[in-house]
Amino acid sequence: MGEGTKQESAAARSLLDAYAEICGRETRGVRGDLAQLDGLLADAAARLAASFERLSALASRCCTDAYIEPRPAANDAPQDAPAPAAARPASDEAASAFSEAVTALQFQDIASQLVGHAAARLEALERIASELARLGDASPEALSRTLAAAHGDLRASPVGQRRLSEGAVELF
Amino acid sequence: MAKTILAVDDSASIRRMVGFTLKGAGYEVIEAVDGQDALEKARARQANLVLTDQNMPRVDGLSLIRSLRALPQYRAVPILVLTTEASDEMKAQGRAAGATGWLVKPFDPKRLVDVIRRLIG
Repeated sequence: MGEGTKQESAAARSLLDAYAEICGRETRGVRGDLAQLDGLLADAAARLAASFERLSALASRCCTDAYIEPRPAANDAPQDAPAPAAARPASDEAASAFSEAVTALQFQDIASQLVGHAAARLEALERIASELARLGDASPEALSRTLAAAHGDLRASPVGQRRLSEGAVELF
Repeated sequence: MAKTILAVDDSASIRRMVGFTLKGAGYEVIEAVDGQDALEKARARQANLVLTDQNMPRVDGLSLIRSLRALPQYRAVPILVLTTEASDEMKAQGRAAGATGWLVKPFDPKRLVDVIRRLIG
């Protein structure tokens, strides 16, 4: 190996080392932020669920005989607008609202899985940077193999949901 | 006598919402925090239906289903998977493992109860 090539190789290695160090530091920082976010979400969900259960118990006592009147039509509603729906028992209205809340309160589990997946991806990036630095003198083929193997470790996200609407049900 | 459902999920919030829904519908609910815990509780007490998450520490949902199906007392018990995973590949794996059905989170309480009533009354 010529003197010039040796110097270039040492410089490349030094750059990779520096990159691996920065990458490691930053990804560890972001993973810490994600863990904090996960904890906050869990705490928020637990508090919401506790309030939800208390409200549910209260509602089941209060709504038994009450009725909810339909909202009056706006003043500018056309004369031929359909007649408002009949009054519904408050218990029906409450049951419907609680049902929607049960669906929405599942946000923490879904968010937590996304957070966990994001953290795993960051960990993989950190590993790749560290491997590249370790293999600084290796051939491009060896580097390519390492990158391919590291990329293969990345699993697809377990979460496809974009909204908190009800998921599909399938019986086999 | 109330039918018993073993609800398995590592998420406390999901266990809470499942428990709220199923107890409200008249079922008795045993909670387990992962597949390992579920296996121990399933051996200790017979459940009429198992509702399990897929992604869990120690023992995941598919491994739990395979282990339960190997137990004579759980060969015919309905096992539903309740998970964020919605890919056809995962569903096929669940079916091959012995799952009875696949529900994608978040669940709607009324729909969940309807499905369970269809399976165990």
